[in-house]
Amino acid sequence: MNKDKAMQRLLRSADIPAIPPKGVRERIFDRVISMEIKPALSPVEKFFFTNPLRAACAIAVPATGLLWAATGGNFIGLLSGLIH
Amino acid sequence: MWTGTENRRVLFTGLYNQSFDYVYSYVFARTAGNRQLTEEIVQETYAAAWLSLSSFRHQSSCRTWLCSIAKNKLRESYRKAIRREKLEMPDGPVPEDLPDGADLEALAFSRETGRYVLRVLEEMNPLYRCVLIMKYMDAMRVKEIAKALGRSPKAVDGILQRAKGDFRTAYLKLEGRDRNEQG
Repeated sequence: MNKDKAMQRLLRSADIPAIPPKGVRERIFDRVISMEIKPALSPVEKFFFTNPLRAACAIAVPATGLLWAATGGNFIGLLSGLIH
Repeated sequence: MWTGTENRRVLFTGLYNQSFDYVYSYVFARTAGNRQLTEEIVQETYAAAWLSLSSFRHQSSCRTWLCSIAKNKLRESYRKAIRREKLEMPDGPVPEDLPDGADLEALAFSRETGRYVLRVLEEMNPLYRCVLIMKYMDAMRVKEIAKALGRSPKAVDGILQRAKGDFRTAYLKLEGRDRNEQG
């Protein structure tokens, strides 16, 4: 354990303040600040656009229920009515 | 929540000025003093911070927040270096005749110690270097290092033993050579 502590002490001695070369601070700042920020999606937009399949499933279930209710629980009757 | 771009910019500027030296030094030590890599990682860190500034909740200090971002960027760079150099992590047994590091305990620390450490780390195999940094600078456990590098704890343990041996040999050689030159 002491050997590990000696190694730790030695490696941590390198964790000291470093002086950045002249101009680095300004250069990084300018590059970062010029990056474009994309507007974040709202929860509704995320729901539709990040996983469209999930949205499609969520819409399909109530739509099926509505159709089911509108046809009186008789899809076959609706289909045959449409055909004739 | 930051409504205007100007508010955002002001907040970021304050945060940047307050933390830059600290974050730069943090990354500098963990890249073994590689200035170019340090600049890249510091830039990536602040870019990530700039783009997700609204998620900073002030529950931790800005330094802690930025260092956690930098830590992730550093790990990415370690993984890239390992992949680039196609370094293998052997699962085999650890050699038993490795130096035990007892002579490191007797070392006297000087102002030059940190500089020597960085020089030795810089010249090491990147795989050994990143494992040593994660273990001894960041105090990560072997399991955590293994997870970060996507390897088995056994493989990481073997690498760590070899890395310690290599580091010790190179460090003592460098320190001795320097002492002889001065003497």
